[in-house]
Amino acid sequence: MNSNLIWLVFTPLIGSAIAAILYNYKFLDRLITFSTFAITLFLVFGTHVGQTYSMNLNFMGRMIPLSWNVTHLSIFMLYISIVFGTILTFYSLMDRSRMKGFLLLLILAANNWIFTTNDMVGFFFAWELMGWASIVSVLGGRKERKSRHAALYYALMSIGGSYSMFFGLFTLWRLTGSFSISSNLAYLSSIVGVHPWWVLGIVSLFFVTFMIKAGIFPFHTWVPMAYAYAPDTFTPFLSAVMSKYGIYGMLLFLPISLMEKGMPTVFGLPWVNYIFVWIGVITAVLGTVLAFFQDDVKKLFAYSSLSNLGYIVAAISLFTSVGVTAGIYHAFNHLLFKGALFITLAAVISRSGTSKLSEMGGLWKKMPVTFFTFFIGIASAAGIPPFNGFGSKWLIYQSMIKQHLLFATILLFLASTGAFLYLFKAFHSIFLGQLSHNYDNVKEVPVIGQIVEYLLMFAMIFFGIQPGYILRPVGLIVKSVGLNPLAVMGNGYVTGMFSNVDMPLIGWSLAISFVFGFILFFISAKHKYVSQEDNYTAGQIPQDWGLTPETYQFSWKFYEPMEKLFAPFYRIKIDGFFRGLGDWTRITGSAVKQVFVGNAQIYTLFAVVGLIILVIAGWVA
Amino acid sequence: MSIFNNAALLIGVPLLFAFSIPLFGLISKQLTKWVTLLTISFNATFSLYILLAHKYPSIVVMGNWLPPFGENLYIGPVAALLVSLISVMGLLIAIYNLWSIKKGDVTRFSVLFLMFTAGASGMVLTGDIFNLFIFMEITGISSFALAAYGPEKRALGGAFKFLVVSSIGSTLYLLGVTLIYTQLGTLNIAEIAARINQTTPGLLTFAGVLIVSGLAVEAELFPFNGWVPDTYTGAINGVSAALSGIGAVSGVYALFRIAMTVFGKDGTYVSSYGNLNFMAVIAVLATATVVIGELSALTQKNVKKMLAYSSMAQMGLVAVGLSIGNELGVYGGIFQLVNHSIAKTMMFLILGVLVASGVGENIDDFRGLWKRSPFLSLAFSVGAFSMLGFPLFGGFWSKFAIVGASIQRGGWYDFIIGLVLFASIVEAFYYLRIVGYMFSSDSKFPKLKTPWTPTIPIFILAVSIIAIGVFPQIVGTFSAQAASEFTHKMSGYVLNVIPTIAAH
Repeated sequence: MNSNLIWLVFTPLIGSAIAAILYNYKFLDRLITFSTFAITLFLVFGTHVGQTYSMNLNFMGRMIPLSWNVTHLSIFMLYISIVFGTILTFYSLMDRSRMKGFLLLLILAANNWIFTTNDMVGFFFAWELMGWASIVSVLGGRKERKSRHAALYYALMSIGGSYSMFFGLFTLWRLTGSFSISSNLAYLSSIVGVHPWWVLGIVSLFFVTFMIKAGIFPFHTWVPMAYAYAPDTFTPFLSAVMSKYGIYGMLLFLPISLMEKGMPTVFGLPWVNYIFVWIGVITAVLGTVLAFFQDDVKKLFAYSSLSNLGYIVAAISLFTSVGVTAGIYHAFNHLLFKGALFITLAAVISRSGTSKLSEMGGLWKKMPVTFFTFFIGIASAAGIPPFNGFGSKWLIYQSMIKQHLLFATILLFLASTGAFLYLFKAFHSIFLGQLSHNYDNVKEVPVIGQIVEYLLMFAMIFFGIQPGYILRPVGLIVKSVGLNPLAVMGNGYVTGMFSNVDMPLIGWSLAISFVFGFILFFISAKHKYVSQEDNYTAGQIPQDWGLTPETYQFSWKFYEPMEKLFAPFYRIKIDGFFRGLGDWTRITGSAVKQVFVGNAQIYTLFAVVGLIILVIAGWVA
Repeated sequence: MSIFNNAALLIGVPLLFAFSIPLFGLISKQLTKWVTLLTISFNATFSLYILLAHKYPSIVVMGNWLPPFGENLYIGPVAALLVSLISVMGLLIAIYNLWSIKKGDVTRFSVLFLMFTAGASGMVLTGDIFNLFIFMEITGISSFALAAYGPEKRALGGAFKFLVVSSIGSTLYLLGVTLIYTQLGTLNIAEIAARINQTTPGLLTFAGVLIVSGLAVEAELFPFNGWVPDTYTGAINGVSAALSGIGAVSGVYALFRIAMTVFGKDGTYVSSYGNLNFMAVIAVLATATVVIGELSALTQKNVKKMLAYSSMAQMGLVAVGLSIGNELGVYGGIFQLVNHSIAKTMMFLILGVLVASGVGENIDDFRGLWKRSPFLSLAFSVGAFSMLGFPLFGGFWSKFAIVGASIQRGGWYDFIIGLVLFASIVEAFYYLRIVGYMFSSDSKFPKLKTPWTPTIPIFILAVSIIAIGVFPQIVGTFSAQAASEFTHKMSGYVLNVIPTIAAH
């Protein structure tokens, strides 16, 4: 019995109540949020694997046991989410967006509960709590109308997902009479050989929820809207931490697939897993392709998140040692670099006042620290060694090739190449190119923001060249789900199946080549800086061609040929189905409403008809 | 027996004061509102005392004639909980009325409001199906008049529709009661319940159909609920609050007292005697109510009308929960009844304050309300979240129990709860849309000045929603006892009223 586990949940709740009371004093709200995150982090230091706690909840006139159980996976997720949250809330101390600290604390409470609970009542409670707190958090982005729409769309998907889980957990309860997650999973594993379809049905009720939360195809449609129009400081949390709840849930249920003896297999995988690998691959490719087209930088990175979540799902669905290792490792890496990217975006947007790529450009001189953080972030996201995104992508490819999923691997490679393109688009459009005159007075973010950026830079480089610090705990998780962990040769090595990569070596060689590059740059001829319009135009006056300084920017219609190439794909609207469902419901609603526009006679008639139907029913019975 | 053990006071005192209020009115019109308030606060104190000091189950006999010969009141867990709910809601609305009812015939309003509360309490307490009819009429007639109160013309239309449909309902109910009386020669609920299988099945079925249809009018079940939107929208907000927070409670109670105790047949899931299983009939009606109510509310631009549809749909949800017929389902249903009563009363009161301070009833008028009145918009959001069953708010636990019980029962209840959950997504859309509008900042209007009198009940209700959400046992303990009463008709009800009777 370790009561510190319950304090992991109650501390944020208490903090949230205090922050909510002081909501009007924005700085206090943020300060309390940050301190609560820090306190919770200290509580996590005292949390160890194997700790349990249980209490009884007086519900339905009987006692429902609530239990907490810390596993290797939960402690890993707790650490990465809370550390990131602490950094983010520290950043938010100086920020002007309308993120509500007390809602973030509610999500933190749910976060800690989800990762440590061992009963479905607590899991569902926390899941719903996280759901509504994040829905309300999405409200209050810079563009109100759009953020309202995004929040509603997200709400409908999220609530639909919760109800699916509602069904699943009560079906399990009907079957086993218990709410305990571990015993229910054991039960599912025990019957999966006998009733594979039953198990599949129940598990897919849960998986729909997890896929919605992680934003996996075909439930990804809320992701770009919600990420793009959420308050700028909340988006990092949405993308970095909240998408991982879905991954966590999937990891809970995936061990069942080990027992699936009765199911036919494809490429040595149970076919359900095989389908999931493809869902992951489709998500990865789709995210990449759609990211090309985006002019809104937050939307671009939202699609990038989608793509990365696709990688993770593809890897963990294999459910091999390398696959799960790679998936969890990539989840961590994605949390780090995407969190860093969205924080830098928040910094850029707060300074420039726009999130449109075509309106930005040349900001690197004005915001150098942000620029370097962003640079390392996209290098990580593109999987360039020695930054932190490389190792996990490399392991993902290995795990796919090991399973002989050649075509899927090729698609993932293509998605990764595409990632280079859109990441460069963002990089170039925001920071390189020419500075627009609108931004002559833009300043670097305040000191707090710079501290956070240096910290994130350091983390991305550190975990890139010292992957062992992450691979060791990931190995423990892999062991705990019943697979052989990968050997970790040293802190500096990523150990794959075919070869080992010495990350510090790569780091040094890259650093040396950079130094060479700089030397060449300095000893070469002097450069002349010209204004934006003073440019090589082959004797033409730009204005004659209808070009304005705005359209003369490099970031204007970046990748236009590429967009034309992929334009046919863009017409396939995945969210058409959901919108159609919504429209259909609305039309039905308007039609049904007509029932209640009558006068007293009509209502009387209804009552009489109802009575007659009942009488006939009684007669027939 | 001390006089304060006599629960008949819960009906007698309000009625006495209701009829003496015109005398107070001679002194001052404002005095009548205070008399109402004090009378209902007596009721609230007394009923809470009964509930919290666990003075139940007990029966109150009239004129020392023991049941089944005399009339009796029965205070079981259900009655104790619901009469407390009714009185407390009545008290809070009476506080609101102190501020809201200024013009017009204040005296008559006070009379009607007291009669309404007394009638609703009587419906919950009585142990006699004919007295149930009488109290239903008292509640009904006072609520038509209350609904017509106010300066607006639409109030008259709404009240008239309510009058017509409700009269039909009472007539059907009375017919059904008559049929049963011809068969059994008694009007005592306990005795009828014990001897219900001595009746001719065909006649029992017909009587049951009449009674269920009649009571479905008050319980707002489709297709007997045509009056709901217009009446709720037409009435002044305090009355709408009373209709959904008090009237609907007693209506649902009466429906399930008859369906589960009188016609009920104990089992794992309560079913009913007669050729038709009335629990199943109610389940179908309730599901239709939920789906139709939520869909109608979806495109509604008038917030008050939307609340009316939502009220209807929520009563459907309550009825779905109760109709499952096992302890968990009834627990959820009663719990949901309490939660809905609290939340919807609060939302109507908020709407009343808003309308009085010049904010319209349309959804567009809610834009930027957060900036104009943080307290009211926060309270409204709390109510909406409770209605949607979000955790940390009361509604979570009741919805959890209802869904759990449905899936536990399985079979066609899986389908029913699927429809209900779909309707809940629709509900989430329209409530969250309002919340979204409130939190937007594009408001050009100045801050609202919130008068402090109506904020007292709103504050109490909002806090109680969160309190129930965090500590569900505040209501859960009582609704679990209530569930046990509803699902065990002999040990839970009949034997407590007539200990000597044997089931036939």
